[in-house]
Amino acid sequence: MRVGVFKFSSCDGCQLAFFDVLEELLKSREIQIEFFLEAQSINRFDTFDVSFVEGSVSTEEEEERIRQIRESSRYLVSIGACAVSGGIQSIRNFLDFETLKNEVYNYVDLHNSLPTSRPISDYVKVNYEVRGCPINAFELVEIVTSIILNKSLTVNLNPVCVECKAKGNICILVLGSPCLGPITASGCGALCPSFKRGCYGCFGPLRGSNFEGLKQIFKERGWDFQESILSSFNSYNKNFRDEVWKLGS
Amino acid sequence: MFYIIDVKGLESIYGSLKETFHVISPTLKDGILLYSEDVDFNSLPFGYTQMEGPSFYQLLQSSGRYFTYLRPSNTLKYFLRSPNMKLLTVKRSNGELSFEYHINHRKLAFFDVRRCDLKALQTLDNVYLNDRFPDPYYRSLRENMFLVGVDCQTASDVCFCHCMGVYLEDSYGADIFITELDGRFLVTALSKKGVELVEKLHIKKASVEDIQKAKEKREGLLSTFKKYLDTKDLKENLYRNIEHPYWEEIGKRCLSCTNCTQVCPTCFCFDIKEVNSIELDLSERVVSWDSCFNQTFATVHKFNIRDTITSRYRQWLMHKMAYWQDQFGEFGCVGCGRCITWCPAKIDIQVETAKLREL
Ligand code: SF4
Ligand code: SF4
Ligand code: SF4
Ligand code: SF4
Ligand code: SF4
Repeated sequence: MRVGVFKFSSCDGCQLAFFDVLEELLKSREIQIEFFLEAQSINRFDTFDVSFVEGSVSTEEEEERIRQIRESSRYLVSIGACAVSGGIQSIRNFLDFETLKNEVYNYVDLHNSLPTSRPISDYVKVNYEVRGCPINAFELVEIVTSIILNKSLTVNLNPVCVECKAKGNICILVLGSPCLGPITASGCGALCPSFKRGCYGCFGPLRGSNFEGLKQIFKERGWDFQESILSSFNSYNKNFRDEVWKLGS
Repeated sequence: MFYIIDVKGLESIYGSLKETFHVISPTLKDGILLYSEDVDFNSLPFGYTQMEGPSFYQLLQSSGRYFTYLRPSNTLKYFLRSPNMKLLTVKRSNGELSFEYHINHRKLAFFDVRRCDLKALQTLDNVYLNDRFPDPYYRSLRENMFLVGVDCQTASDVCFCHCMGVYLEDSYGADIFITELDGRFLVTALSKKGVELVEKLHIKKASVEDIQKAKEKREGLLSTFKKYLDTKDLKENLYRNIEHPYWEEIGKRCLSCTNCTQVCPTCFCFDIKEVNSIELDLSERVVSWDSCFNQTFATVHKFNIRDTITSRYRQWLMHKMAYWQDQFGEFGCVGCGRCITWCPAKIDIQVETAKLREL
């Protein structure tokens, strides 16, 4: 199985997850890592059975590169909040780009960003999304194993609350902390509520959630729902665009 | 057999259980009462009272009495069918397969189970230990178990067990039962195991007056309930309104978070997954809690037959209050009120059921 790991606009954190499970992955004799700039000095860009893509599309060069990767790959998997939703850098999509650029950079001419930072799926077909900021490394192993076995991948459609209760946690939303667990995809093992901190949504919105319902609960308790979503690293996710920001397509 | 003890006697019962069993008891964790293993007698939450309401929980330290608190926020289910449980491991080596079934033979004792939870245990037993498909994993834990029942003294604002077939004299499955009198406790030994345990401790037999006093205490509880649900012809009335637009109104509020099904002592739905190793030499079968609020729950061939939150909420309430009667001949709800306390959207199953039956 020929594997590629690619980076776009991102912090590299999700690629690091590969290092956590590299030993496990290499137990399989079927895996050849063909392209992974962060991990090896000899890389070959040819065709891939599966390409893992970290980061959002944020420059013209990236727009072009993601198309090439798509054309060369049987499966394309986006990994992490940047690739899946646009990442923290997509907050700029909600602001005036020119003003922002002038405020942040001294040499605006050297700056070649696009006015928006977008998820991979805005450009090309994505076969599977791995959520999280950063991702849960064990999900990578599960994906690779499933591809080897030709087993269908189960798309996770449960909210964080399911894992939270399975851990035996008490609901801190009921006890008075803002928690995005009910509208966030599970997969992290309810990390934050297990430490008595509300989920801030790093695994991104769960499609089919009752966003309006949670917004009402936040409102009653005096919390800012939209602000919480803006700082979730996933504010530009398609589900939020459609259901919360109502941006259309 | 009736006995009378003081708090020292209570401690010796607890101590003697610990000699043979993994004892599970309520204890205080981050301000909430939860069943937990390896609690010592001194960390039982004696004297606390529990205030509960829709999406509201508070503990208060109270009088010098003992069993003033109520059922913990988690349930027996958490220990009898834990949320993620390995059922089977299959290994392959040299072309041979080997199978290992993970049946758990631990001996569990629950010290302090209230009547709603005993009824819930009966409901779960009817699901797992029926004649046709008994579950060996559940049965093994269940057969080795010791149960100490305890009487409640004051109901909380969410309790409505008195309407859901939980009667004052019911003590399903309990080996001994404890009723607090003034500073003393009436112990009723109900099973052979129960009598053996108590006899070993050489404690005093109760007098007729003590037994009478305990009966009065027990009856005193009835006047403290604030909730009431009329269950006469409940099923028929709910079926009549199964297409009522009011369900949509609840669907707008419900987050489909699954909290209610997960804290419910009787919800038993599960999912089974096969987890394979990357070297393809090992496969583990894991059973985990599922919920009818999950989007994959009613998905068949990629088509979810309950695609709206409204239809999923309706499944939950109707199963508890109506379908369960067709399926098992009883309610799936024992009125413990946990789903009311822990619903972030303040949806109250007793209020909604009462409303839906009258529409
Ligand atoms: S704490 Fe958050 S994630 Fe956990 S059950 Fe409550 S709302 Fe859900
Ligand atoms: S609980 Fe929420 S914010 Fe925390 S790790 Fe999980 S998804 Fe991310
Ligand atoms: S439905 Fe609610 S009140 Fe009824 S048994 Fe379950 S948790 Fe308790
Ligand atoms: S209410 Fe839902 S989760 Fe509970 S037993 Fe019924 S179908 Fe299962
Ligand atoms: S009724 Fe309440 S606890 Fe149950 S799924 Fe809906 S919001 Fe969650």
